[in-house]
Amino acid sequence: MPVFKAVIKSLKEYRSMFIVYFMIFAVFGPMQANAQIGKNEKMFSESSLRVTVIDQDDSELSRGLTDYLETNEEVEVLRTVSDRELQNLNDDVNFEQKDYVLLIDQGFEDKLLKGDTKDSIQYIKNGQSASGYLMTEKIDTYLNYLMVYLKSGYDESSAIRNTAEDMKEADESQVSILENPNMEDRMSVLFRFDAYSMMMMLIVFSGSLLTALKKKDIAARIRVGGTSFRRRYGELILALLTMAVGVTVLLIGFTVLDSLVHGVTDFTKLPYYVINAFAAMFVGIGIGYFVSTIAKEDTVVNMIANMINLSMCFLCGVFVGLEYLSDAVIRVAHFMPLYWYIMGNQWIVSTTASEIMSTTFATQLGLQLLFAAAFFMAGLIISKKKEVYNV
Amino acid sequence: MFSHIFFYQLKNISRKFWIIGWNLLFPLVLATAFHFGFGSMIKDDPNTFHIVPAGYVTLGDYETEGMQEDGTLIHTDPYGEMLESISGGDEEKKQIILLTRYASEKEANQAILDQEIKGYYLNDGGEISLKVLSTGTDSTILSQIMKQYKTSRSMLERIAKDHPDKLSEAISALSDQNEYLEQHTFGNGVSQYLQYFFALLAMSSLFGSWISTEMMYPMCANISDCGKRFESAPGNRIVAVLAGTLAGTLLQGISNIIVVLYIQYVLQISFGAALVDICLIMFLGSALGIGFGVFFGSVFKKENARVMMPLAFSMVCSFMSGLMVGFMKQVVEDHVPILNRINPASVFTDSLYVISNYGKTDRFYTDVMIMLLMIALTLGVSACILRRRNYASI
Repeated sequence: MPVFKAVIKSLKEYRSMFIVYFMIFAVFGPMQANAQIGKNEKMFSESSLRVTVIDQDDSELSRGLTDYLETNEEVEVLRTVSDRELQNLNDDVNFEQKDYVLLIDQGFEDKLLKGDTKDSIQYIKNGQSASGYLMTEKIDTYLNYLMVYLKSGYDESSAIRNTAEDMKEADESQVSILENPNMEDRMSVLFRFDAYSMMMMLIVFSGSLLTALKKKDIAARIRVGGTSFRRRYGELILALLTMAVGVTVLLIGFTVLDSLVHGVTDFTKLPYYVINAFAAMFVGIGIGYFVSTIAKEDTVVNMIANMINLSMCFLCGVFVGLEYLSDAVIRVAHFMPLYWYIMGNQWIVSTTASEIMSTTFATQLGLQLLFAAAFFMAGLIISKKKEVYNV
Repeated sequence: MFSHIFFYQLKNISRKFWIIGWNLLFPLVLATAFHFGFGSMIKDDPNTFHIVPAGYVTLGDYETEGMQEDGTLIHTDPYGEMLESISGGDEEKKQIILLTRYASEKEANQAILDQEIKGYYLNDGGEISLKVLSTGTDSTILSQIMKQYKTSRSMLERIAKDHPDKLSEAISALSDQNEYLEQHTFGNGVSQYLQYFFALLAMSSLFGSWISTEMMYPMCANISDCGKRFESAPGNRIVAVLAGTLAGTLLQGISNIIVVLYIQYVLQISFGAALVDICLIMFLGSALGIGFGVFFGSVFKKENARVMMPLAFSMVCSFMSGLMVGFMKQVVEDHVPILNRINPASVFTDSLYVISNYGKTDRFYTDVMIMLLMIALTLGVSACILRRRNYASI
């Protein structure tokens, strides 16, 4: 099978590209999964916020406040910070590496006892964030309770101790989580993120390989060769499919391995994710073929592949969840194949395993295959027109 | 000779369609995709506090507080009344929750699964509990409301026992919820989603490396016939490389500025800094990309490497600066800050972020110096490599 072997051997030239896109998935995919999936969904625990307290007062009241925050939040206490460090903390809050920064100035205790804390206790939070609001409310509530005790005749130590005891008692409140077996899990996040790397590799590899075969010298040698048209193209298609299956299986394999390492034991829905991924695989090959008909060089293939894939990934909910996109964008996304891949993913997440195979899932798979066919047909038409007009 | 090569390189580069496509069209397309994808999040942050929809179910009798004259018990629902009060909101109190009452737990459970509410309170004869779908900020807010109610009760019971004469004062103080904290205003509060656009401009600048690798192609004897003639010629090679570099920088800079103007005036996304400053940073970024391209062009001999290396380099650096995952640069800053100092994309995006958020601070000038140093280093190393090549004029 000379054509098959030649195409597979040509893939060696793209190994650096394969490594780059595979590493992007291997590094950023698990990061996204860690960020989006809760750690232990079986028992409720309050969101623990990452708080930095800059306590320049170091008084009994400021330490009491810090001790209270430490009961539930991840608190880092600093005594002084430079302007540059404060800027870095602000950036941490802006980019959600920290949730809150509390600045307690010198003289805070005296001012609090007088009932006026202007300019002595400030916070940095991210815009109008909900977690920032929550933290501000918690601290205001604590200080309010403290003031009530102080005004009711308790001394500072008793007021701090009583407030802490009351709040600890309230911590034993009954909060439970409703059982919901159909929540987004690690595997679904990885399969969603997988779309970018998989599509990039498939489009670039198939596009570049087909473009290379169309170069004048190579095309001329192929035409005068002894292999029949059917055998030639049959082996070419087989080689492309082998490449595509290999790429898809590798990415799926990494996903499964990562899930196993992170303690996922339920793989009931895995076959459906795999079927969805293989449907998207055909889309990748289809787009690759289409790109090969309009591009003459590898660099142009890369350019078009990046343009199409990155744009689709942002508009179809791969990098940014669909819930954040406007209705108009989602309507436009319906005309993109990756949107149906993401919808397939979401259907698998939100449905029990026994009910996944349904008209809805079949429609999502079918639409992906239709898009693949549409891209393939578009490529064929362009090829034909180019032949007719000798372009 | 300098001006001759400069103008001819300008003509040469601008005639290559795929360079125009990569360096101008691609950033415009991606910026448009970003705008449609999450442009609205720059104006309306999805993490903003929103009123939390909550449910309330009562089972059994309410709490009893005394008896009427005819002997019937007086039932009150102080918890329900408290929830109604924070559900209403007024000029003095901010609305925190939107309360819906349900007749049964089953109805409330279904409302959670249908995501109509984030959780519901269950009042079983005075025993309050909360059921939520998952942990998170909204669930924590609901939990906090319940805790505050219980804490207030414990507090008043304790004060009633220890200082009964202060009880009425305590009740009055408790209802006056003061706000002790003030926000520390820091910088312009630039949205974190603008980082995606900064990273896009960084990627676009680094794509300038393709211009210079393309420019180096006819200058290297081991790669092209034109390169053989060029290296055999007696003309000053460094002057030729500099002229080409400047031409590439000019073209790339113009491309970048077009993208900036498109983002600012067509997509209506403000960078939060003077346009002149942004344009100057764009030229600096362009020179950075061109410098790295000259370096790759002089180091790598194989054609494949000359195509793949700039692409891989640009993409990896851009991803590390926040192109796909917006907070990536800050994660690197917190754990391995040295990487952010040597990653050209991170230095470039940081300069844009700082000038937008804090103005021209020491940090901004440090970023500019690092970029200038990188340009000098890449061109210097390339000059050393190219100078060592000698061909006899035979």
